[in-house]
Amino acid sequence: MRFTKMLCILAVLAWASFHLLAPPVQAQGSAAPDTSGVKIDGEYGPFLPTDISEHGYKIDRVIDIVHVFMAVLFVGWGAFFVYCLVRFRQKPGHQADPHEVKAKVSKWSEIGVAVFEAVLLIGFSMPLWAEVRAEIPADDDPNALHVKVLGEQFAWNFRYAGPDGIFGRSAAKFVKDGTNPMGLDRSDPHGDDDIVSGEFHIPTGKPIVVQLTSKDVIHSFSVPVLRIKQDTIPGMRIPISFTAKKSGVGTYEVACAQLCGNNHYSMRALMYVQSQNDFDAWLIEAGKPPEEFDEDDLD
Amino acid sequence: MRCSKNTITVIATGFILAIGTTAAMAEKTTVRGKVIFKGNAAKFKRTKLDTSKDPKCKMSKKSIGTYDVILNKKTDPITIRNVLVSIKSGLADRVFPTPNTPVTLTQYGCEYDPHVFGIMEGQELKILNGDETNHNIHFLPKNNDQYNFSQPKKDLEKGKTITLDAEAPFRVKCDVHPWMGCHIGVFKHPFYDVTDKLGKFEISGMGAGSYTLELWHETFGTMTADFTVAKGQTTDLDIEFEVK
Repeated sequence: MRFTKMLCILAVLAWASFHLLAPPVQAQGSAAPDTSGVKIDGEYGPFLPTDISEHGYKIDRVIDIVHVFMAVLFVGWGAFFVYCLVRFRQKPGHQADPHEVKAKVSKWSEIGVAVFEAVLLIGFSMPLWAEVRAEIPADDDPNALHVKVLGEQFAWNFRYAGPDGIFGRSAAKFVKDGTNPMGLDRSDPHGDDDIVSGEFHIPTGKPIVVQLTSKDVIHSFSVPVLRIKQDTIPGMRIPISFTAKKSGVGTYEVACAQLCGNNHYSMRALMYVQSQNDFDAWLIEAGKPPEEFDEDDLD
Repeated sequence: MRCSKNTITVIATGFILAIGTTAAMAEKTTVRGKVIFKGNAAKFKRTKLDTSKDPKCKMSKKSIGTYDVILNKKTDPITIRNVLVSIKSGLADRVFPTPNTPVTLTQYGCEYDPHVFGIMEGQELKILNGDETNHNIHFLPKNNDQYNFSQPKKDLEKGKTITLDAEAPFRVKCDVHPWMGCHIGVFKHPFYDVTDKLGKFEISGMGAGSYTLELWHETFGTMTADFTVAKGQTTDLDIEFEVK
């Protein structure tokens, strides 16, 4: 038993020192330049990436608790397994006993694990999810920025309501690859000023409501630095909400987290988290009608 | 050595075809002209495309424009670019040899070059990637195979080579860059051309006779025009493409 205890303690200490003492990998821009050519902000490594959302710490807390618990379970069961291998190894004169062993320790430890898992689910995860869902501002909430996001093989499209703050009509019959990917009806006065971009721009300090949908298959809108991950499903409009911290200004990536086809890995977009002034300036610039293309530009 | 009846027939047929083809080519018959836009040109404005989705696209070219309608408004009359002009009828059952040289389709600056082109049945089509980004080539034909493959790395040497069966113009697109598209017409003969920047086309070698041209445009659809060309002559043919 002394050997088992030592093994357990050593394993927990090794895990704790690795988790708590190892400095985060400073890999600023290391993930994206190879793929998008743009410097990506934030820290990435073996642990959780930079968190720029106001709700992110709650997610991280649950993730940390789950990981610590899983580590304890892993080490405990692993040590017990090793103990059994050694203690009950084949020896001359011994015969295997096929009858069930009845021990109070194992029974109560299993009950303890089940109770702890229930606490994780009922005490942490469900309240957190309820809180996240309850915080979604209404469609007509003027204090929030509403963005419609459409996933398609293999691109993200972001639509903003424009100066009037009202989304215009859209329909599948208006969809045109390249020039009208979200099927805007430009004859609708509310839709005339709508902005569609391949980039995701958001201001800091303001609640953002993203309405997710998909044009073809199931995708997953994943923004690790915002601690956001939500499937997009054709025919459904799924809202999610978050607020970027004031300190979160920078350039990040939006990815697809659901295997969606042979170019799934290419389904990414750049996310620009900006101050309100910079965001407003971008909105004005993006709202201008597309420039006329001069044929001589090709020469 | 004895030759079978079939072998002799095949050789004789090939010989006759070769002579016929060579003779027809030697006549140097040509039809050339412009495709003139007839309609309200103000409705069609070519604009810059938003390629912000992939910053690597901007590294290759400063900007690219929409392709659905390209009008040459700098001349009078206004002409149309990227009209695929081909002989639709008049060639009877003549058979034409497949060129040995491949047609090259290059993805560069996140656009296809050429945007519209013709190719002969069985002729090699070589597809290259000139960009430092991933492209996905997705064929949308009705009769041919629906090729759908990626070219994740810059490759201006080897590329991928395929051949196609005859088919009316169909679209090829890139699933990664939704604005990217081109159109391919596959013919059983070599008598086709695509209008250039000035809306001009020229087709040679079809031999003396009366023919019908088919004009295909990705937005405006198709129309036909008849012409007659005499041995060793050039027929000038300016065609009005009416757009409602």
